[in-house]
Amino acid sequence: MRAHRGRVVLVIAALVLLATLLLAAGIGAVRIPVGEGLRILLSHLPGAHLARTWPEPHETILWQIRLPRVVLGALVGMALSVAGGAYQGLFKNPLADPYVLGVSGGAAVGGALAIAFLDRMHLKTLGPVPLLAFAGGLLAVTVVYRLASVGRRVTVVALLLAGVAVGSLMISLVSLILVITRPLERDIIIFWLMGGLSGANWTKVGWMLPYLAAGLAALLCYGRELNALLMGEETAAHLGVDVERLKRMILIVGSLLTAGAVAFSGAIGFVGLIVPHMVRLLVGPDHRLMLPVSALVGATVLVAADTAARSAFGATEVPVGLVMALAGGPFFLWLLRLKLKAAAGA
Amino acid sequence: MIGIRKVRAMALALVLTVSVLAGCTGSATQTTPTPASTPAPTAKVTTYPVTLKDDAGNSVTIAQEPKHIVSLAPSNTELLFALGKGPLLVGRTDFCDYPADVKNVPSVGSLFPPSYEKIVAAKPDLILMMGGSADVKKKLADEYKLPILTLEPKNFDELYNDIKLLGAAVNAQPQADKIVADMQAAVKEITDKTAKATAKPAAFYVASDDPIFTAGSGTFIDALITMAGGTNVGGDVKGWAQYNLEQLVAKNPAILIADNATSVDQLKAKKGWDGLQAIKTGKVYGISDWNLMTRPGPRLTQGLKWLAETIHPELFSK
Repeated sequence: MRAHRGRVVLVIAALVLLATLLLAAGIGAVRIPVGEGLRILLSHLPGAHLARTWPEPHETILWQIRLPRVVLGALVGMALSVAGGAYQGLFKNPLADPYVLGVSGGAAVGGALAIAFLDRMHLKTLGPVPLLAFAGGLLAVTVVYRLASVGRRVTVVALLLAGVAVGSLMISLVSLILVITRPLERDIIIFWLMGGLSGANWTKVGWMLPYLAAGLAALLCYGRELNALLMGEETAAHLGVDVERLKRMILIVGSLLTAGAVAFSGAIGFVGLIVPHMVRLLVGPDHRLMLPVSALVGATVLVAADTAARSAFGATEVPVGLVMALAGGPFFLWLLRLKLKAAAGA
Repeated sequence: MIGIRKVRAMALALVLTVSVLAGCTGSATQTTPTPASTPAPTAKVTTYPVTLKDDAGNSVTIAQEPKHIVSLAPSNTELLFALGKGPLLVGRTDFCDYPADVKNVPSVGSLFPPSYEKIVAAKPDLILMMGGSADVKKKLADEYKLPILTLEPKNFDELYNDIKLLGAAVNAQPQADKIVADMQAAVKEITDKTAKATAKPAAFYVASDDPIFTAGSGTFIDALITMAGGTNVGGDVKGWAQYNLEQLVAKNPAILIADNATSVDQLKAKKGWDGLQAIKTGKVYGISDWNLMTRPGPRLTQGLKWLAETIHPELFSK
């Protein structure tokens, strides 16, 4: 019965995501007629031979600009939501988000350094910003983990404290970089820090896709253990869970997922914190269902918000995190009030 | 078609075309590889394809006279209009605000980021950018194969070169030469007067008063203050930079220059600044439009004139 309900929820979430992806591909600063857009998409299927009846720029816009952005948005949304959901379970702290261990701070330092000083470098395929952001993010988490662990044991409270401390250290380093760079780079860094998907291309999607698939699969495998952890570390250990190993694995996979997402899109806020909460309110705390649904909803939310960010104000783009916070924040609060009232009434 | 190519590939392309590049002045490179090329005609008409070396160090080959131009910098937009080629613009940024005709050109957003969709849809055969924005530049050039010319003048000489470079790129060389000549004449008229000044008053440019930001050495404002017969107090810091209040008080500027007219009263009433000579003598002035002193273009001479008359009113009174 429960398993059946879970499947229904998953199918609905997947359908909503699919509809959002299609809609997002159809909306943009430049209007492309639906029929024309579909023909362009079909022409890229292997083996398809369609006469090019559409203007050349439309193909570039749809296939090279809009579609990779939509797909990358979905992947990043999935990564952040699942990492956030797993962290909230691990830390048993509702304020935990993917950035709680300093990934975003470290990535910000790496990204800011790359923008400020390697501006003119032209590395093949990726460029210096994602690489340095990724490296910075992982470096910060490693420092946090080493600080918080004594021998083989690592306590959750120590992790959170070290994460906050290292995070603020990183923020001050970013401020330092901002002070010493030229105004133009400073602007780029500031907008990069807000996070966004405008840099998307198929190369980045190609890097992100297998990486995300592996990370998601790994985290989803720990649903049962995370459920046990909800009852406390000791109880979980009695149930046969190797708690220290579980913590390490969640931290490693979660950090890798988050660092990957931040490398390509900057630190996009909100989605990794709110989506898991939203999903928990809707489907309950069982991680075996909550995590995969979070992945689907996270992708939906980020793609929808990004579509608004890049098309709602004509050619002028607004930061996607801003759209999510403005539109998603009130919705989440409304959901929270509803649940609180229901709980009080029951 | 037009494209930014590596120098080698470009040289090859040039062998195939009898290119006449001699009309290009400024930093336009003459990379005609045929040693037997005849002395170039002096007609000020650009013959396409033309290869120009831009301020980013790229060799940009423009195959045909540009008909659809996107400008991603207010300074470039303004220059293009000054060259009489404003009607070729098919896209500009939200920040392009001069001349008034830019309102008729559709915006492609900000630079952070621009709308790539709008840019591609405009089918530009030339994109004008300024320095920085490496992320945007890389995307436009590598992914969408769009030709980019970068103009990033850091002083008057580079600005003159860049005006001629742009003139060569869009086949407006006589106009470019005229703008440069006019600017040089205007500058000479003013600097001839300010050269006679016996004192060089210390002037401080207030880009922001909390925190204090100023224009240091290497900025156009630094050059303008010097040309106007003043001494830039902020000249001891590099570029646009934060400035220390203690240092400002110690240097005790005789004149404060605000980047807009409305903050003059605010500066005069500012706590902690009341000891400054400029405040005591009331020599606090705001320019009507700060772009006259910051945006590389023909209007810089207006900024210079205002500044010279402000710093040395005695030299300009009739």
